[in-house]
Amino acid sequence: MNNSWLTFDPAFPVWVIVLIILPVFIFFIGKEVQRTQKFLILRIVAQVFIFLSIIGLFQRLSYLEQKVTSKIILLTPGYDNLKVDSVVKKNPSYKMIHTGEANPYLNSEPLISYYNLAESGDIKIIMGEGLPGFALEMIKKKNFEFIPGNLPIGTIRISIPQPIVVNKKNLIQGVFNSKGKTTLRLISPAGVEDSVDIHGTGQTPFVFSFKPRQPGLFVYTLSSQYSSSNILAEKLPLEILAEQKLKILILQKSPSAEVRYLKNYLAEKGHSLALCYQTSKNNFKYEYANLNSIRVDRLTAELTKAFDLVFLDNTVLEELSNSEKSVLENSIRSGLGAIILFDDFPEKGKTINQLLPLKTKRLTVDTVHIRFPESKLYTLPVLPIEIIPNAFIQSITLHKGRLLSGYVYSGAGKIGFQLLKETYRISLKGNADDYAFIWSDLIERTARAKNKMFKVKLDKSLPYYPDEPLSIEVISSGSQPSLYSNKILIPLAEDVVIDDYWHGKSWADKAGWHKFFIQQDSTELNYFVSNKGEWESLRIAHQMKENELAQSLEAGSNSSVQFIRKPIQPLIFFLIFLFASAFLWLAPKI
Amino acid sequence: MNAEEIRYSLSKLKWRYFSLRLFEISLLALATFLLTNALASLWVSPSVQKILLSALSGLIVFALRFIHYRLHKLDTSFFIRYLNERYKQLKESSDLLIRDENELTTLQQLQKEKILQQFNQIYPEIKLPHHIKQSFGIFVGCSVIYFALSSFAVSTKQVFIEPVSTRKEIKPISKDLTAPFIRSLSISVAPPAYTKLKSFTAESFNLTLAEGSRVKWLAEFSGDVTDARILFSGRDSSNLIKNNALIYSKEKVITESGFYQIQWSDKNKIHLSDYYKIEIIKDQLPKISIDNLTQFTKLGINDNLTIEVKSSLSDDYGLKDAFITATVSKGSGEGIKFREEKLRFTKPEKIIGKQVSAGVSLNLKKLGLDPGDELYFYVEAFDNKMPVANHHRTETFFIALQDTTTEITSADDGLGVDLMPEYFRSQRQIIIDTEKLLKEKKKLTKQLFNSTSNELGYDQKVLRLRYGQFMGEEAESGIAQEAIDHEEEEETDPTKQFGHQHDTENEHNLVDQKKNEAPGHDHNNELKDPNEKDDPAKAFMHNHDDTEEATFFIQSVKAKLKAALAIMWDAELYLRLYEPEKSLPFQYKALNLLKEISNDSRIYVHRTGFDPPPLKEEKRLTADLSEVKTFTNRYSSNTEESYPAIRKVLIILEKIEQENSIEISRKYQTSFAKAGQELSVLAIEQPAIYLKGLSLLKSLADQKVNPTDMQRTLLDVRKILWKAIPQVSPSPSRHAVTTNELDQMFLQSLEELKHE
Repeated sequence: MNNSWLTFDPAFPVWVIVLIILPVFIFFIGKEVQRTQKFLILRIVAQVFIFLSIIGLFQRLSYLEQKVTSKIILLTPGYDNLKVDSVVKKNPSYKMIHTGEANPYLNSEPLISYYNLAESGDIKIIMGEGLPGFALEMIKKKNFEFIPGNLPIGTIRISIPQPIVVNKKNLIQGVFNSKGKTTLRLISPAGVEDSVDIHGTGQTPFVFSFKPRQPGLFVYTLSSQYSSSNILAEKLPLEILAEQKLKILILQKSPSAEVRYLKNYLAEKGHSLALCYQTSKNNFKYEYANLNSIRVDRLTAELTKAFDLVFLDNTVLEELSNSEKSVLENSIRSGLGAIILFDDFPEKGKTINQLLPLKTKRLTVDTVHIRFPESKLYTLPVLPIEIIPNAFIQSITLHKGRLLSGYVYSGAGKIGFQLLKETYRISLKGNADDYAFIWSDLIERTARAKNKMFKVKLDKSLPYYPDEPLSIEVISSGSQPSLYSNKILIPLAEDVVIDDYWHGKSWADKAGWHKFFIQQDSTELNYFVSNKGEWESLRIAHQMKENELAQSLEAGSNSSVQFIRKPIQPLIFFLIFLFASAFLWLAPKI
Repeated sequence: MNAEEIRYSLSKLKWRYFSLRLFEISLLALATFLLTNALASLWVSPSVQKILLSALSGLIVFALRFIHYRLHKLDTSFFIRYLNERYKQLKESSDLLIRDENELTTLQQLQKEKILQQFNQIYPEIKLPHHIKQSFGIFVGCSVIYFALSSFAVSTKQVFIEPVSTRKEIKPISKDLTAPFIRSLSISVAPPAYTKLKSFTAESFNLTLAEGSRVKWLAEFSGDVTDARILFSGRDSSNLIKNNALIYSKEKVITESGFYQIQWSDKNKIHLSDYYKIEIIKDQLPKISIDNLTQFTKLGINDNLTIEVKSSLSDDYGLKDAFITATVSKGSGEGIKFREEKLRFTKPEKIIGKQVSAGVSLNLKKLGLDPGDELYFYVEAFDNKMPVANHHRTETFFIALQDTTTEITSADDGLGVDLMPEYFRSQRQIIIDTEKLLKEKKKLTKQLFNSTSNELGYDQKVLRLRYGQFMGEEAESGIAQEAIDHEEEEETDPTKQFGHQHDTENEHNLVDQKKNEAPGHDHNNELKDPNEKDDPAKAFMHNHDDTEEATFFIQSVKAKLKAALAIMWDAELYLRLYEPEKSLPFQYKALNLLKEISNDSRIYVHRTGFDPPPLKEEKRLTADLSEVKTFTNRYSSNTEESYPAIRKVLIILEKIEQENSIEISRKYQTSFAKAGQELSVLAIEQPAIYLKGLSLLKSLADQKVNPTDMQRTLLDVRKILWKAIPQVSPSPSRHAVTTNELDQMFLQSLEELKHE
């Protein structure tokens, strides 16, 4: 499309038309010249018209037409009358239309269908809760200004952690817009998990914590009680994942109670473990828990590939041969996790400093009084060093600003560290949860992640409704994904800019749990479709945000002249062809 | 008006008077009834007693007033007298009106004529005496009091719960509609007498009752049944006793929580009822606290030596007894002596009731405490539980009377545990005292001699009991038998045969000991149970389950201590028989044994901890590590999830709920049945929580739930099953990521950035 007055939309490629029509034209002109009949000039003109009309028919000509359009204020539900009054006063010439669900305003016309938005004119202002995403797509030129109405009462933002793993403490955060004292409750199938009292009005953030006990697809309930009779219960879908077991290698110079208890804890939880420590100069002890015996006396690429995480102490690390060090470094770069158990202050020039480049400061205090979430106070020995934080260190346990455990990235892998010592004492006191808190986060975040070929996600968050389009995004690791929803193949298009980034659209027909499934590696995405009317406040809040983002910076443009392209009616060309042909037929007879 | 008419008029007056008085008395009686009722409401709760009391007082008032007005003996003369007194115009002659004409004199007849006229005039205006106004006033007043006081009365609704009939039908859990069912089931519960709880008829089939209650089930079936029985907690079953054709009964004393189910058969088909819980309310231990003292009290000699002990005692069903057990510790070192006394509370003297605040004054002087002495005491209480009372005691409280005249310094040799208390050598003190007594025998009176001998016997007993405690004995018990058994052996060397000799040249038996053994005299075999001979492992074991073994002492010390205790019995015996001279040899023996024990244990304590195995001299320091090898250990932990069937059903329930299904498919029924089996284990322990779930699961598995109730049932089951899933500590979990080319590039850039 260009800016010229006349444009073409050829039915066939131009060269095809030219190649066929031009020789035919020349042939017929030649024939006319050869005829010894009168009206030669007129016959040639008629021939020209015939060919021009044929070209016109195939080229599908259109012309540019200037049109003065009316400017529109679109009223959606929840608009503020006072704001509309002001807008109308400022723009008295604007036409007013309102959506089906919105209350009519003085002289406003109803919008019969969202499809009419494409032709309704120049929408300059949208007021109220805005248009749903699929309706916004109907507006060709989004040079409108969005004036939001009041936020609805209820949950206006909710953030569900991903992934939710069984037996772990999870936090659901959100914002509630309240009109008075409200009690929010998170109700699991087992009963109330957590509750929050909101005092006052306006937007209040809330956090629920819960520990799921069973993996699977469950529907929790978020209930908000404004008064004794005014209770709103909304279904909160949660996919709870089972724990994925790790393969861990522990290399120790000499046995210690710390590692023994850590090993027992991990083995009890079903992780596969191999433990090796030296008992005398040439003798070692090997222990295998939930794992078949394999040779672990030498670090090789095959060995490190077989494990997700390696625990090493200072001494073992220093005693590794150069080839073993190289294998370890390469394995970590390609995804292996390593956790260093410090025996002593890391001195300069040692392997540990190459592997874990931390800036440290020696301290005199070798104990720490620490309290974990919902735990009692523990006094634990700690390596007397302070790690100077930098942007590359990811902290896990922090105590009064002092980093006690954390990790750094090294290629695709991570190297973690734990400065706390004798943590087994917590386990011995029977506080299994606190002991798990110290270790599980560090191990989980440092260990090698399972590599998936594909990742599927929906571009919008909860809620989803039946018969509304769902935008799907798929990230692949090279190959083209075959995405199915209820055995129906969803067509996906690769992003024009980013490689291996695919987009698609799907619709869910009814409320409940649904699933997207990638055939190649069985990657799944479970999502829950809510009934219409559920999560209304959240839907409106999301919609307002979407409209706000969609509004154009050119919203203030006052231009009301619109150029539109109009196709030339093919009938005209046909009539020309008919009259010219008729003349050629009549000419010899006159 | 003739004489007949006059009599009639007087009779009318009589009835009018009677009615008025009766009304007046009735008002008073009613007022009394109301007043008594209102007052009784404040103290008496059962309404039957209250009504009886009120009615009685009303009746008394009624009767008193009735008699007072002589209404039962009401006659015409009363009215004549009244008329004469009240109406002067009748000139005291109204009696003439009722007299016969023939009896009257002429003058009287004339007078009668006059009086008759007067009587006719006044008759309509005759006002009979009454106090209706006053009575009404009293009645109104009492009514007001009644309504005012009844507002504060004890609510009868709270106290008096009308038993609801439990005669409900129980249909079998099967679809057979023609099967006989339990037409009615009544359950009567008789709590144990000591609880003083009333027998009651259970309001529902789920029972909550006191421990030890006798429960009687009386079931009436709708048709002939066979093999009717009650299944308790899915384990035990008891046959129901046939009372007549359709009625069966069963009585049982319930001592533990669980659930029950009734089973009956008909035409070889077994029917089962729903599950019903039995929840036991345990008899709690008495609660005791000493309110006014801290656990350790130190007193100076100038302080008030009378200590008030105030104790709060309570029990759920009532206390039976409580007392203070006080031990006075006198002296120190060799001269330490203990005396135990049982002290009764003085306020109140008898500890009876559910809640008692008891107190007693301990006069430390009277208890014989001198500076440096200590008093240990604790309060022990018994409740009224039958047949064995629950008892509980407080922590031991200490009262020390400071001795400011001595200063003790102690040097510890580094022993971690001081196994031997310092009163070990008090046996020596008893010997000294006995010898002193024998020396002074001639100077003393027989009574004093006997008394002193008896006191020494008591001291010997206290000493024996103290040592007995080291052997795990808590009371005077059967050491005597052993004393007799070993008497002869002690003559020679009572310790060696049991012993593990230390401080000898061959301490660890590295050298063959054959030469040391007395030929043909094997004491070890004498002591051993013949059945234990073949147990070679016993010599290497330390059996903690045996109370005698669960001491700090090694075997040889225990044997010696046992022997010493047996000898002390004899020493005490002769002291009690006032024959101290016969007691002395035993005392010496006991002392010798105690000395040996002291030495043995001292050696033992120094060797505390690791008892290394004997080393072969030829292998020492040879640096031979051939037997030290690399060792591999492989094991698997049990990582199976608990309650797999329940977990599976939870997923199924979630699916059913999402589908909004009202029917349970056949494939799910098996899962429900399996989950029921897992839940029944929990239901036995906590029927209040899980029994309902078990019942509902069974209904679901048997497809007995109405479609209308399906959703509610599923939600209830789901909630209960969730409670069964235990909370476990978190475990690290492996994450999943998708790594594409872009991620690799990002990581590469990050690495480069780090190394810049």
